Amino acid sequence: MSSPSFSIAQSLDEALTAMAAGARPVAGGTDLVVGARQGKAPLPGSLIAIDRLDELAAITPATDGTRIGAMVTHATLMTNPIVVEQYSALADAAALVGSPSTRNVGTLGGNVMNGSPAMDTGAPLVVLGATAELQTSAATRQVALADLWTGPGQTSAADDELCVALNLAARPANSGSAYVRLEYRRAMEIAVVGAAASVVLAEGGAVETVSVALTAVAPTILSVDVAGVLVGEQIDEATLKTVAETAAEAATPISDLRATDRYRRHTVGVMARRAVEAAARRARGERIAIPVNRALGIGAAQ
Amino acid sequence: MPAAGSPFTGTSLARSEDFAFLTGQARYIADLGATDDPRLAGAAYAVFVRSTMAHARVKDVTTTDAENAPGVLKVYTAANHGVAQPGPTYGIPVAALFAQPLLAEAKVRYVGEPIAVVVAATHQQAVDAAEEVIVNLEPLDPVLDLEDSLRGQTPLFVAGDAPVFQNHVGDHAADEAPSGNVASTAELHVGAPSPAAQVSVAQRITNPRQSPAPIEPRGLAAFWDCGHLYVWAATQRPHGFRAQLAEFYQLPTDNIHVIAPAVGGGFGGKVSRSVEEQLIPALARDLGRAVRWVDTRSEYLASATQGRGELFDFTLTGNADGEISSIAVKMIKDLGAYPGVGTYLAGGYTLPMACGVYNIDHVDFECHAVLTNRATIGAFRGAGRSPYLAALERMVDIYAAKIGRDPADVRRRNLITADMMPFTTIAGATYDEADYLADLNLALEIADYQNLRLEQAARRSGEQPLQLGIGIGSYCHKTTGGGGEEAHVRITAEGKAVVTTGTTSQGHGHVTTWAQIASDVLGIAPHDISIVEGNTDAIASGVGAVGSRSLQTAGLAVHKASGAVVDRARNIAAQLLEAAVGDIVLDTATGNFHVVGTPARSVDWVAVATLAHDEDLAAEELSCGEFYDNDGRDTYPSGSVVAVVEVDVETGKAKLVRLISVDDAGVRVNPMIVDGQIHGGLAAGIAQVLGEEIVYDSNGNLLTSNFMDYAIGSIDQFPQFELHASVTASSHNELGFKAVGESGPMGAVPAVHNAIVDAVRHLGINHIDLPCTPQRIWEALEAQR
Amino acid sequence: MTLETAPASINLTVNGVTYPVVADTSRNLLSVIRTEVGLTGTKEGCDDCECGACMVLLDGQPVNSCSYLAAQAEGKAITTIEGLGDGDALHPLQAKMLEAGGVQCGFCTPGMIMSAHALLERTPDPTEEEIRIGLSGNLCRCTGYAKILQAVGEAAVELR
Repeated sequence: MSSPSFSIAQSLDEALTAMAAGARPVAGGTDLVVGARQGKAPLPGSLIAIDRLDELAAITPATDGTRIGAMVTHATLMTNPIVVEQYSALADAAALVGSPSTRNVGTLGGNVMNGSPAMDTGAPLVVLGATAELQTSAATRQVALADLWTGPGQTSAADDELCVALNLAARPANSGSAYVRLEYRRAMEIAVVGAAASVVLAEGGAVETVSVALTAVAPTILSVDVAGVLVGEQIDEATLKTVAETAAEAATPISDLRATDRYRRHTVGVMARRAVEAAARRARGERIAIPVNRALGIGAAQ
Repeated sequence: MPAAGSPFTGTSLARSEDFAFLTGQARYIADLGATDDPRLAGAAYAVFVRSTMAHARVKDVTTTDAENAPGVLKVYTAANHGVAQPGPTYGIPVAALFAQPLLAEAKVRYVGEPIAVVVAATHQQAVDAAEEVIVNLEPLDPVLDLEDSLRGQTPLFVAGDAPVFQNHVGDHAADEAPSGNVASTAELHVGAPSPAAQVSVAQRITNPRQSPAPIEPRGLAAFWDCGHLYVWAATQRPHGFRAQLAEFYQLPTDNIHVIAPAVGGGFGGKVSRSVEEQLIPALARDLGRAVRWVDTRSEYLASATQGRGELFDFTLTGNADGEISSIAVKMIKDLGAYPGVGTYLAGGYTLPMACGVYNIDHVDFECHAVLTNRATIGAFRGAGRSPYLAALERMVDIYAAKIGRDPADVRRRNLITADMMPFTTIAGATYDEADYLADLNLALEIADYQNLRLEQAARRSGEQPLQLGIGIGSYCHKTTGGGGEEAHVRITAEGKAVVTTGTTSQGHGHVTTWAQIASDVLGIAPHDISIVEGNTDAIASGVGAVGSRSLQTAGLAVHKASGAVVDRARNIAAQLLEAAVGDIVLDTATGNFHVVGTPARSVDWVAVATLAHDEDLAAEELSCGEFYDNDGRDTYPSGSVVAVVEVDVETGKAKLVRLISVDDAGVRVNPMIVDGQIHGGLAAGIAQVLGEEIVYDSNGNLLTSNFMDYAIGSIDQFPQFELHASVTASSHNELGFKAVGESGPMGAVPAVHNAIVDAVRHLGINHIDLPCTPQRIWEALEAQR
Repeated sequence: MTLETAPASINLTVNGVTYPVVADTSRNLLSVIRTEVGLTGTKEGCDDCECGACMVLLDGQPVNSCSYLAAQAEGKAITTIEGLGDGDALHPLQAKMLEAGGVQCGFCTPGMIMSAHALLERTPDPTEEEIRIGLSGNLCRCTGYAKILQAVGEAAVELR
């Protein structure tokens, strides 16, 4: 195994300067180290540790929403009151990632920049309208996630661009979100399929806006347009059934060890329906504990 | 000397071996260093280069770059390891043609087969250099399908002519020799079909491969000193491994010293019959220094022996009232790449269990064990029995469904009853005392079976998304007491005891259990009894911890040797008490010897030991070795498991919500340890039903090469187990012991499997093969929609 | 901080003691703790964060040391199984594991105890469900987890 040069950044500037000189950022490092140990990808020649940059680890209310620092861990996301109350789908997803140790080490920014179509936090970020804030020593830009993720494990970010935060839009009144995942067992499982939904209800309970995104059924996180089906409608058996069908039709899953394309296509529809249902219940003010998978006994082992 | 306070048999003493485990002080193979033996200082590391193809010709192996890599001491291939290919050995007597070369020479036959081995100063250097070894393979068609292998159109071993080896067990000779890929056959044709039989059910049932997957992988450290070979091995069989090494290295067994340090689980996966383990000592000899090898997890999953791998075509026949009369089974057993322990399983363990727990008059059993291009099959918890018993219990449910009877009633009607025990089945096995019917009824009562059926009916009629299933698995199984074990008991000058056995523990709690058994005979407190095991220098013989055999062999040997020591001690006590030996008794509650009827005047172990250890006065040596010969009287632990599952009919996801297990393990020495053994076995069985499966693709590539993809049971998959101890003393030995290590999967696999099928049976489903993953259940449901 | 080239000098603080070690920057924390620091209670059971045998605490939080760069642990407080208890006196978690029979082969035990320790630090009164989640990153092949679950629940009561 090659031995990289390694340094621990004491400031964001230092990290960005190192990246400009060719260093790769390492936060928790789990994916990097596991990948290198299993021979999938060698360690980069130069690493800059960014996990001690407290300025990247904050969850900050902003005028138009919330800024979540890239170094915020899954353990924080699943318990932070702002995320739990306003961005429940993201908290649902964070609570399902790996085990306590991987949730403790793994960060939102690391997850996003891995660009895996099976990442749990991806679909929630999409339905919550998140943008990634990418910074170099010279400039900062906001990138929509749809533009960031270009393929499995691929992003449009330049090598010297560091994801410093995810910016989430403010949540309107009567809104709710949820993320549901199909699990074979609970811990240490990558998603077989998953779905996130965000729902805003109008007076009288009809759907005002809705968005749905799917995990692990396409080369990247897949956004599904169900507005035509749901906007102006009540959420009931009939509309939910259409949600399931629409999601299943949109999916273009692969077959692998865990599941066939056919099974993924069917179950992602079920997950989408359950996510919309749970998001709507939250929009109505019902408190459903994080993660919704476990609270409702759906998708998961428990 | 504190009073022992016996009896300790039946007491859940905390394990005396645990302090080291709890504090991180226990020494496993990877932990060993100069503090364990100065000769381990500077041990080099071996890393194997393995086949990436299931079946291929080895064209050439280039090691130049690896030899020049930093830290490399030497790179070995078939061309230069310098060890004569052993006979067809590693302890399994098969034809020479079938023997696995220590490093692949002409062909590779499974993904993971060792081709070369790099030895370097550090582990990382060896890993890095191993990547520099260039192996040129020419792919051959792999044989993966069991029926294809049986037909033998692609013979995997060709010595210019045909098939070579038959290891036939049974009462009829095979009519015609099957193909060259068959390494053993087992047949039994007894009894006659009942003329009253009217209902036959037939089902093809597979039992997928599992890996024993102890959390500590395999490992070995070896060095040579003055012509003696010293081996530290993560092994279940120190003496058996020593015997193999003696044959292999042409050394007297006295010149070989095998030590099992702390061993992180075995489950049949550490029986030390692999080429890796035979070869490492040769590298240590060639290099003149200690060499250590430890598997990575992915190496372990690819190259260690695996278990299960059976295909059954099962027919069960009975009458319309639920009386089973006939079993007909055609079975193919996957052996993997080289014939190992798997060659014995069908004849030695499956065939005797042909009737299960039922009184059946007619058995037609035929099994061919065939070679394929997957990792070699070895033992795994319940080997040879669990797959068959699970299939039989599945058939009972299929039959019950066919005749419209409750599966519990069908079992009650056919169980061998307590008044028939001991009972010899027509398959030739003699079951010891047990009450199968009472245990089944108790399990059903604990489960509240009738109310569960009502709840199930309500959910069915309500077409609820979560359907309820109830499953039963009744079992008894042959354990491998065969042969015997030796034990030594020695009293120290301080009046404490040292017990030495040839079996060795990989988590079984022998240290505490043996101390309890010895304490009850010696009247010495368990904490004053120390146990020596896992060291071939400490005792002459031993078989090891395999086949649920330790208690019923070594446990009896400890008892016997303890009794022999007491007899000697009585001679000394007689001198001290100036009484006739025949009048001296040992009060095991106090640990004092006295004349019968006059306990007030007594001598304790310290007094006896002091005299015995005084060279001038020594009358007797307080040290006895005894061999307990089981004489073929294997025990048959038994029980019934009831499982309750919920199946989400939208996703196919099954969740186990309750598991009740009533187990008759005979007399229990330490109930806490026994429960722990049951828990672990249940977990392995449940995981097999819910998703644990070794999977190869159609080219023979292993797809489940880590714990993400090979899903051994995790803490979320198991409910709180509801156990009940049913204790029937066995007459097969004088202490009434049976066994417990492998009981868990016997009942759990069919109970959970039957429960899952039961949950969706009303939707037209008759059978779902293992493992019952959400996808497989959903596919079965889809097929009916 | 200047860029280090391999091998690097790293100060690792393990169980309150600072060990200056020299190790390649590619080395994972597990291997450095076991080899350079010389504490072998932390185990390796897999190579991809699945089994939890390598669990240590970093600043009180559970971390799979097999998949964490040693260089990155500089300046953090590392706790291993050897840091629990006091000589012959077992920590309540260890004592309850002993009483309940939560140990069989012992190989998963150190990692399991470290995860349980982190759990009870943040959740002193866990439900059974919370214990299951807290230990969900640790695999055990021997026990079926039943007695471990019991032991951690009993230790929580003792520690409160």
